[in-house]
Amino acid sequence: MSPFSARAAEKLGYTNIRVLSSGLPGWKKANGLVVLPVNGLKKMIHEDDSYVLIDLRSKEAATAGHIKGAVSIPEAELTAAKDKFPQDKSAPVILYNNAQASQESFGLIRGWGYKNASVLHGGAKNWDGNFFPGEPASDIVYVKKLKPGQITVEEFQQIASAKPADKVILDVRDSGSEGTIPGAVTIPLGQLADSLGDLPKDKEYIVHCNTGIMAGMALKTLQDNGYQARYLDAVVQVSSDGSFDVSEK
Amino acid sequence: MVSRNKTSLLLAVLAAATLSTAGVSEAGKPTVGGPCQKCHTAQPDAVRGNLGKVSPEFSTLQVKAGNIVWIVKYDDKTSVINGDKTSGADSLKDLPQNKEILVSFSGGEAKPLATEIAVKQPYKVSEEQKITNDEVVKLVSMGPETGEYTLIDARPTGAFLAGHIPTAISLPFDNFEESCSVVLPEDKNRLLVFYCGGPT
Repeated sequence: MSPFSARAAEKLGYTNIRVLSSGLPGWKKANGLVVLPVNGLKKMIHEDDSYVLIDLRSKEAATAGHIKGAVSIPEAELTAAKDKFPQDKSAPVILYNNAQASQESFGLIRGWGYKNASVLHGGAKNWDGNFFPGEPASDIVYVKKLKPGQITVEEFQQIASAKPADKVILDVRDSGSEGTIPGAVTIPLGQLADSLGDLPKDKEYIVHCNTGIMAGMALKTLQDNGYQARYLDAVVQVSSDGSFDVSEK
Repeated sequence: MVSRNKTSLLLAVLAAATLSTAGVSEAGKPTVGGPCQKCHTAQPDAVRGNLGKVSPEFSTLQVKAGNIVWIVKYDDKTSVINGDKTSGADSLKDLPQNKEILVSFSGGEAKPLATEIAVKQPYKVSEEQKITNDEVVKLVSMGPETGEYTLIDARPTGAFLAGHIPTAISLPFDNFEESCSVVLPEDKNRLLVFYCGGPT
């Protein structure tokens, strides 16, 4: 996607264009700080997503008013609270202090293996949503929820090996991709809308790409056109011999 | 009756041709597939689209462009150019379904015979255009003003909302044309750094 945008910017006459080709995954791998926009947290609250939200301010400040679902762990006590955090390292852990949570707090959580950790943009003083008065929870409860239309890694793998007749694995990666999962149908995302005529409607389509992003967009196209479909929101690597590896983001 | 129907059909075709000004042949047949139009315009005696069925029996291949399918003949003089490899039409069977191709033909659009079939190569970022993670770390620590850069997240809005690199702004690639004038800086010499959701 970024090479496409870079090329488009070049056509507009921009002369100094660079591409970080390792993308956000590379940034995360190098333990770079990830910022959660205010609207992103609002969306998660609105959609009733599962998240781990940590209020790093004092107990008093958190009791005076905290963001929905926040657990109070004052910054100085964070190290000692390690065991309170969920087993599932893919849990989105979001930190906020009065200002934006520090690189140190973020680094600590990231160091415990929580790959989807982030800090709320600008912290509590930048939050223009609701604050709820009262004592916040002190224990973390996290139950992973699938997003609408998402398929689990386990079920995807099962379908890929059993190849049931009523399901089709649809690969929407760019056509330059090296190998394909055996039995999968390949239609690059950009051509999907024009290729719907090739897809019978009596199957369920299980969409995958490299990172779940293009698959999520393909899901929308399929559902808007009356198809039954789900998508894999995970990292997929396919070798040229068709063997593949799926891992949680 | 019959001839009137024919006339109205012809009018409908002409109307469709005027509606979509880009990528149609003289007779109003689309020559550039929908997604291809983002970057390509029509060329005479060539059709750009997605590879459909190849029939060795009839020596034909299908090219899907927009809402129509072109059927183009090939022969043993037809060459298939895939990157730095050039081969004959028998190599068409090795291409994946729906592969983007540009078919140049002779014989006019009524009886097209493929002379050359060029296979689209994957997007590649040149080495000098790449920026390392460490360089971006340095820029981000300075901030966009001191660092004189604009960091652009090309992923869909939903992905940006789930977390992004500090100081990044969102410009989803599939919404580029609509939003670029609002999001991109006026100064065409300013450093633009793009990133997305994966190794490219």
